Formats: sequence, C-alpha cells, structure tokens
Amino acid sequence: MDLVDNITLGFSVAFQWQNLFFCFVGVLIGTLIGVLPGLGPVGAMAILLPITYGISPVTAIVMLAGIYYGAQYGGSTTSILVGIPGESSSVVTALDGHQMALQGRAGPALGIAAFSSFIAGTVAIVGLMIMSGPLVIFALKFGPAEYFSLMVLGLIILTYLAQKSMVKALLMASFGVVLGLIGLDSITGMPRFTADLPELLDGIGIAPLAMGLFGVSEILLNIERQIKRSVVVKRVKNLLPNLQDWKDSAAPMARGTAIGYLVGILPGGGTVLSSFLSYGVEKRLSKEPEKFGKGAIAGVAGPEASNNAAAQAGFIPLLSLGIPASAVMGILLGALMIHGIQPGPLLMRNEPELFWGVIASMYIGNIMLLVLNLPMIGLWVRLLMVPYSVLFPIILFVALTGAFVINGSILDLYLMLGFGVLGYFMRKFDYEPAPLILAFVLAPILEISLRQSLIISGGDISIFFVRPISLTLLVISALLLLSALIPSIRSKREKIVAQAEEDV
Amino acid sequence: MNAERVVSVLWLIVGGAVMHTSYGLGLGSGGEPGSGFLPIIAGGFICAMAIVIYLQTYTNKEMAKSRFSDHWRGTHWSRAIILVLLTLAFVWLIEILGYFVTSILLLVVIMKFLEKLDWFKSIVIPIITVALTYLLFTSMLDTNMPRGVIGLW
Repeated sequence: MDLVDNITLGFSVAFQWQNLFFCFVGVLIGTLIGVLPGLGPVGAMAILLPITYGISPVTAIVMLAGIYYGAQYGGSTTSILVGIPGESSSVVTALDGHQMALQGRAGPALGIAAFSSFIAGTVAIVGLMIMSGPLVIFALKFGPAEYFSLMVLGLIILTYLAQKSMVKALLMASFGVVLGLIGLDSITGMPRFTADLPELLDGIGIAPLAMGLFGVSEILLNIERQIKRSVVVKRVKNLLPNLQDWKDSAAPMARGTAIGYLVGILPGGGTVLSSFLSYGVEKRLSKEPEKFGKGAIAGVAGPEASNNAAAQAGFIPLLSLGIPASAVMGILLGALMIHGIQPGPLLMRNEPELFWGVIASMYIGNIMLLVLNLPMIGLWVRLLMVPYSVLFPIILFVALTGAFVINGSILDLYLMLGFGVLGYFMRKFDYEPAPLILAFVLAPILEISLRQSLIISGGDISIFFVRPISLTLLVISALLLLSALIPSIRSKREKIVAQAEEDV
Repeated sequence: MNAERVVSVLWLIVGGAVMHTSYGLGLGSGGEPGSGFLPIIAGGFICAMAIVIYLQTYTNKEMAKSRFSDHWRGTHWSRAIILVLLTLAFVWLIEILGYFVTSILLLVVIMKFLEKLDWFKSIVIPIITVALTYLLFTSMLDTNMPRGVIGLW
C-alpha cells in the first residue's frame, strides 16, 4: 500500500463515529486539564486509562493522544490569561503572552498561540507520516540484541536530558525496572518481589502507579502550597492577529516547528525543553531582544509551535519502534499492551487501522482544538475561576474510582496512595518520576530481549558488540554516560536547560 | 542532618534489598539467565547511584546544605498529611460502608472541613460528582462497586 491508500484508510477509521466522538472527548479533556493548573496530561491520561478498557484499542489511543496534544493548547490559555502556566510546556508562553494580555492584547496572544499550535501540529503530523515508514523498514532488521541496545540508549538519553540530576534520573530508571519486573517471571514462571500477595502475581498495574506518581503526588504538593489564581482578563475580544502580528510570528513559528519536531523525537526531549529552546533561539535571533518578556508576539508563537510539534513528534519512536520517548508515551504503550497489542515495527503492518487511524485522528483533533480554543474561549475563562478546593477532591475521587474498577482490587487503591506519597517525597528531593514510569513499562521487553539474546549466543555477551547496529547504539550510550562524568561537558548538559531558563 | 544524604542511604537500603532478593531468585547462567538476572543488575545500579548521590552531598555545594526543614518551609504540610489519612480511611471503609456512602463522606469531609467550603457546596458537589463518576466508569466497564457489609450502596 502506498501513502495515499494508507491516508485514505486512516481517515476512514478516524471518521467512524466512535472515533470521532472519543477524539472529541480526548481533546476536550485535554484542553480542560491544560487550562486548569494542578493536573498534568500524564496524570489525566492515567486516571482515564480505566475507561479505555471498555473500548477498542484504536479508539482508546485516539482519545488518550487527544488528551495529550489537547493539553498543549489549553495550557497556553492559562499562561496568557493568568500568568501561571496551566502546563509545564507552556511556562515560557506565560512570559510574553501574559504581558500581551496585560497590555490589552489577550485576544491576539490567544489567537497566535492557537494558530501556531495548529500549524506546527499539522506540519509535525506530516513529518510523522513521512518519517515512520523508513524507520519501520530499518527497525525490521532488529533482533533481540538490537532491541535491547536501543532500549538502553533510550533510557540513557532520557536520563541525559533529565532536567535535574542525571544520577537521580538513572536511579529512578533502575527502580522503575525493578517495579516493572514484579510478578510472575514470564520465562521460568517464578514469582518475583510479590511479598506473597496473590494480587501481585500479574505485576503492578500501570494505572495505579502512574495515577499515584503523577496524579496523587501533584495534589499533595499543590494543597500544601494553596494555589491562588486571579484572572486578569474576563472578556477576550479580537482573537484574530493582525497582519503585523502574522509577519512577526511567521519565522518564529517555522523555527519553533523545526526545533519541536527534532527535540520531540528524542527520548526525554519533549515539550518542555523544546519550548524553552525555541524561546532562547527567538530571543537571540531577534533584532529587538529587549522586547522579550514585555509582550513580544514571537515569544508566544515560537514556543507554542515548538511544544505542539514536539507533542506530535513524540509519537514517532512509539509507533515505529515501540519505544516510548516520554512518560506520556509510556502510558500510551501501557494502554496498547493492555489491549494485547505489541507496539514496534510490526505495528504498521499488522495493525494498519490503528497506526493510520490514530495519525489521521490527530488532523481532525487539531481542527477540533482550533474550534474549541478560539470561539469557545469564554467558557475556558469561566472555568479558570473554579477554585482548586473544589477541583482536587474531584480529581482525587475520580482517580480512586478509576484505580478500583480495573481489577476490583482494594490493593490497587493502597498501591496508588502509596505511590502518591512516594512521588510526593521524590519531587521534594528532585527525583523525577518520568524515567521511573518509562523504565517500568520497558522492563518486561528489556528483560525478554536481554535473555533471548543471551540464549541465542549461548551466554556470550559479545552478541551485543559484534552486531553493527547494536554496537553503534551501545557506543552512543556509553559516550553519553561518560560525557556526563566529564565536568566541562556535564556543565554543558546542564546548560541545555539552564541556559534556556536564563534567557527567560 | 543532611536530607539528601539520608535519602541516599534509604535508596542504598532499597537497592541492597533488591539485590539480596534477586540473588535468592537465582541468577542462572550466561546462556540461560535466571529470574534474578536483570533484577540484580537493576538493584546494583540503584546502590551505585545511591553511593554517588551520597558522595555528591560532600562535593556539590547545593546538596551539601540540604536540610529537611528547607523542603517544607512555608508550606501547609499538615494538609497533605490529613489528605493522605482521609484517603486511607476511605480505602479502609469502602468495604464496610460501601462505595456510595464512603465516597460522599470522603468528599464532604474534604470540602467542608479541610477546604472550609459552605455546607451547600460541600453536599451538592459530592453528590453530583459521585453520581457522574459512577455512571462514567460502570457504563464502560462492568465492575461491581463494593456494597459494604450492611448492604448499603
């Protein structure tokens, strides 16, 4: 099948009524959690994961993906109108976007944010379609040894790009591997780390783990800080940017899209880093850098394009290689596996409806988001006024119900709460939960590919070094690890994020 | 007491426990890796990283002055503890009082006593929330919610 056939297939799937409906539900929830500070897309996707047990895998992924890219749109609304980012990926948008709002230009700021997101999102989807094919052909040559090395590289890049300490990120990834191996050993049938609890023989579910680490822990941190929000702009007018706005935004949008696309493919790169990078680049290239932070529209257009392009590009490694690049993709991988689908290079061939249907739904979702976020902006402004004292009990309760309904198990509730408390302490001490959740979902695949490789080679670990692809991947991993130990390079690594933050 | 140092020692204990249990599971041989093979490597990594973090608390200026009190300064941390205890009570009571009663109780207590909302909001919002959440999840999945020993909902 060529690309045109595939796209036609994709749209025929995406236009089925249940997929349209759940795509809408997804982007609606995404915008909602993006607008409301205090719950990120990972937490929201985890909490809604149980619902997807009852629907088909295509529909489930369409909805979960919608939550993710929808949150990128919604987050900017709060950033601009309140000055507090609704989402970590729209932190930078708050700087110039909120200044524009204070100067009475909230409308164009929101408008350019939505259009940048839409254009970058759409371009990145095209990139996703073009990129995935060749990657899949390449990945089909992979044996267990290559897979093992690829996952090692993925985890190392993820920790390399960690925003805080790389050592702590590596520790989190190792702990995630241990958690992911809890339950019956798939090869020997021996129970591992189950503490003699029969409920743990199937392992820990991704839902209680992710809900605890990303949902409950966020609530605990937020209620001790008492969030106060004041909406400066109650009514938004003139959403359409004028010609000058478009002129000022066009180049930043294009550069932001490119940066977002490239950073988004990397494990751990994601939406936050790409928006910071884009802001830094725009400020440096600008003829009037002093305007940044005082309402420069380029400071909204670039980062907003960038975080959306990154959100879409993050699907490339997941859909073509089966390797998630971020915590969000980890949840999606978990959702696929719950439905018995093994993501990886065979996905495109074995499940074309899923592969192309999900991609096509993103076009539709982006159009829905444009409609949701521009004409309906008034609704979101009103929602912003709902206090956190009402929101967090509801979020907590929905999470509790969701964690219970999956298996009808009380143990899952204790687990969720336990991981919530663990996540609370982890965040206090700068241990990031993202490497943990990724290692958790990858652990079973990592172990199987490691053992298969060793069985094939008869226990000779040189199998990882004599195969060229595997060797290359491991050499890159080793170089990254070593470079983190060299002080001058280490400080450069820290600068990737720190410098962007400084520019801000 | 240096907070980072204490936390790193805790991780060292976790890593050590993982390695000990993994060893008991059997490491197998090179050609036939056993159940404990990957876990012991992961446990070893946890220990190694914990030791690095421990050492960093002497070399890294910021980590050297980490105190527990700094991490909680200016926060209403008692609210977090109360919420955890309330949630624990919820999990414990759900099998005794049943899903509906326990859920509404949890939300009313949080909204009225922790958040000091007025009685009207503290009763109406929980009822709507519980009803909608129940419909949402049970329409998608057939799980029976606990009815409690008294047979109440």
